[in-house]
Amino acid sequence: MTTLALPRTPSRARPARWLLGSAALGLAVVGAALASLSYGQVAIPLGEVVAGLLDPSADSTTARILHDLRLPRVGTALVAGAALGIAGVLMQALLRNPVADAWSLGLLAGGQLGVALTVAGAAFAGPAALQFLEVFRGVSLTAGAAVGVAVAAVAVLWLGRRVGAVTLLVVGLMLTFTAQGVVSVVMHFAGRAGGRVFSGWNDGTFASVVPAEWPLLVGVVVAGVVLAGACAKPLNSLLLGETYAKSLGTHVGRLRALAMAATILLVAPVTAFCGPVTFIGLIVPHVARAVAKTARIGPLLPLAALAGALLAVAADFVVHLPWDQHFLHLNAVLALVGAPVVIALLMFSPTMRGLR
Amino acid sequence: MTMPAPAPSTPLRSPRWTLRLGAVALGLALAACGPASDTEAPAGDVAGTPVPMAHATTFSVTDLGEGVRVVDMRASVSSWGGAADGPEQQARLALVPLAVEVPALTGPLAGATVVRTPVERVAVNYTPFEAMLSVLGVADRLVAVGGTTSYDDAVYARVASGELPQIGYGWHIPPAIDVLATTEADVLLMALADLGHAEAIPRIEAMGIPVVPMFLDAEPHYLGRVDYVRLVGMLTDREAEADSFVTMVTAEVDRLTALAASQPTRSLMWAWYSGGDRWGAAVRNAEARLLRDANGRLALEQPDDPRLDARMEVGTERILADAADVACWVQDSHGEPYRNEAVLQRLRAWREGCVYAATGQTKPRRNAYDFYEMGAIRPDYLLGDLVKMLHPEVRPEPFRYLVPAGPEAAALLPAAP
Repeated sequence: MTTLALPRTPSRARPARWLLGSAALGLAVVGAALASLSYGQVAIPLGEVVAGLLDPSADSTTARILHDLRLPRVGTALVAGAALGIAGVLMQALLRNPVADAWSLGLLAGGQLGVALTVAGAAFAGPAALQFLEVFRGVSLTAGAAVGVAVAAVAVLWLGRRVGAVTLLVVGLMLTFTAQGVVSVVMHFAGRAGGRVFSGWNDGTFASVVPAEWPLLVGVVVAGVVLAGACAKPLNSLLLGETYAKSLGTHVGRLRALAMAATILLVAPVTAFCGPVTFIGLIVPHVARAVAKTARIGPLLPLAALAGALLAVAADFVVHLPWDQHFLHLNAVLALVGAPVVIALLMFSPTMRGLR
Repeated sequence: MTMPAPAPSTPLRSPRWTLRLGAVALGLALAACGPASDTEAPAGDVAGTPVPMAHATTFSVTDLGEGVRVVDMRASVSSWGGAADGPEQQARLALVPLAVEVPALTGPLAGATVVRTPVERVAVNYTPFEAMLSVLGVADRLVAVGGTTSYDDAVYARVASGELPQIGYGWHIPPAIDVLATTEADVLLMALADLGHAEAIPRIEAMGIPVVPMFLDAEPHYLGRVDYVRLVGMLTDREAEADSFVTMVTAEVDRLTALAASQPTRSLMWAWYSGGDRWGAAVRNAEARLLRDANGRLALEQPDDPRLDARMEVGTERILADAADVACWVQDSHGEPYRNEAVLQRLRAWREGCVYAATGQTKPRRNAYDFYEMGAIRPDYLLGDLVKMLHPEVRPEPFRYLVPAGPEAAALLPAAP
């Protein structure tokens, strides 16, 4: 005999807890950002960092390191981390899957494939086209990544309505492997110069964004944040199931399209400018839910933005410590944090157990 | 649906016993995964007449008479930008003329790899070895190459037509042994990009193809790489040509070094952007020596160390802190353009237009770079370019490998959005 359980409305966030959590995360973000600004291959005393922030025209080497290298990098990490965190909340709500994010479901792999095809196309067109691509790297690679992310997102959305959470996760990982296989084959024929362009992009980093690219990056992400905010309330009803959402008058098809559009606006520019950045969108929604003690989307979005920014800046800080001979890679650092979280979710999450 | 019946239960082993079993299994697994190549030292010194090599330190040659030579090879293999993370690779070769009976492989020759000379069929997996055969006039003896990136048009035409099989895609991966087997090569001249590639050597030799491991990148002096031409000369019976070639290159290096020494020392860096804020930089060993011989002071220089690669990764911050004031900047051929104009403007070399990339003499359609082919055994070519870059007043000859890559070159490109 099947027992039907009435859906439980997601509990409301307690404002005091939400405020306290936001403040704590905000302070942690500021602390991590200051640490990133003051320490790296060259150490800059905190006092000089503050003075440098107040005097952008300072011309010393440390001032230029601060303004020309660290500020853009830390700023990009803040924006990208926040965007990926919010995108993670949207995807997990949209697919009702606690391990859904742009990486685990293959959206980043779609972006990789889009960029690889763009680079390979230019390589086949000839050295002049490749040189053109290098110069117009921001626009062309952004377009390639955005198209790749969008195609993968539509595929995942379609699949997400037909298979369970774990199956979707496995399918997403298989899509990732497939895309990476295709990328490898494509890049084999793209030659040394094409491989150089792709590998430079493919190594996720917040350090390759130059100030001229900021308007495009920030502009698209802000549009994604606004759209995510607009989707927040109706997404709450979707958390309780499609039937329940429809009974509340939610146009589910349109909501899915809008939420996925917001996800693409958040993920595509970050992927295009920073390369594939893994795990942030997967972990951060769980942190936000733990802090807020609610699954409601509205309160989660700012918390996820703060937690995403914190994780991104902290990981970037570790990458840029003065390691000997080699650097660490951003995604390697994120994997050290993210992979255990995924394992824990697979083992202990009631949702994952229920959908296995 | 029925569940499969559980397997009959077996007595539980104690945790201690299980741990022992696990440790044994782990040990076996580790032993199986380790480098398979024999890295034991050759069996003692060989009695004979040493054949002096002016600069090479990764191999030595002893003449036993009747044309028989014993070659001892010994080097650490560092991966790109990294440290040698395994044992030193060692090999003992016995070069025995075809007209001479192979001596008993006992005593000091026990375990030596026999190469019958002169070799008529030569397989290589690295384009500088193609250049070595070319300068000795025996490129027609090539029977396999490492990929399709030969700069030499004649060699490339043979590869493109399928006459010369490829035993890999460059030297970055171990040779494709099945392809190699079809070549009936008398010898494989093999570069090892990674210690793991040494595992292929016993498998190739088991098929009857002797392997000469070529440790060009481990030579601490760039002229040590040139001495390898003499080794190839011994293998191909072109010793006179090889000696003449090495003498010519050495004399040219000496001339250029003296020319540069007459000028004031100038600072430089050799670094190329590789994405993020990572740069590859030449900091030690052969590359650093070449820059010193051009009377350049390498801003990012590190102490020489044969167990470390000549290159290392540095961050943009390190470049700004330690190399912002260098007079000249050499980029590699495979770096991508660095796009942060504010940082570029902090670099004196950029502002003053003394920035060069080693992209001369390339055939981009087929990823071919003479810099990585002939350039490996003609360091005088690059040295001449470096002398011209640092001291243009003493060297009017045109650049060969270096081409301008500073703001004046960037201005020729389409404007970035």
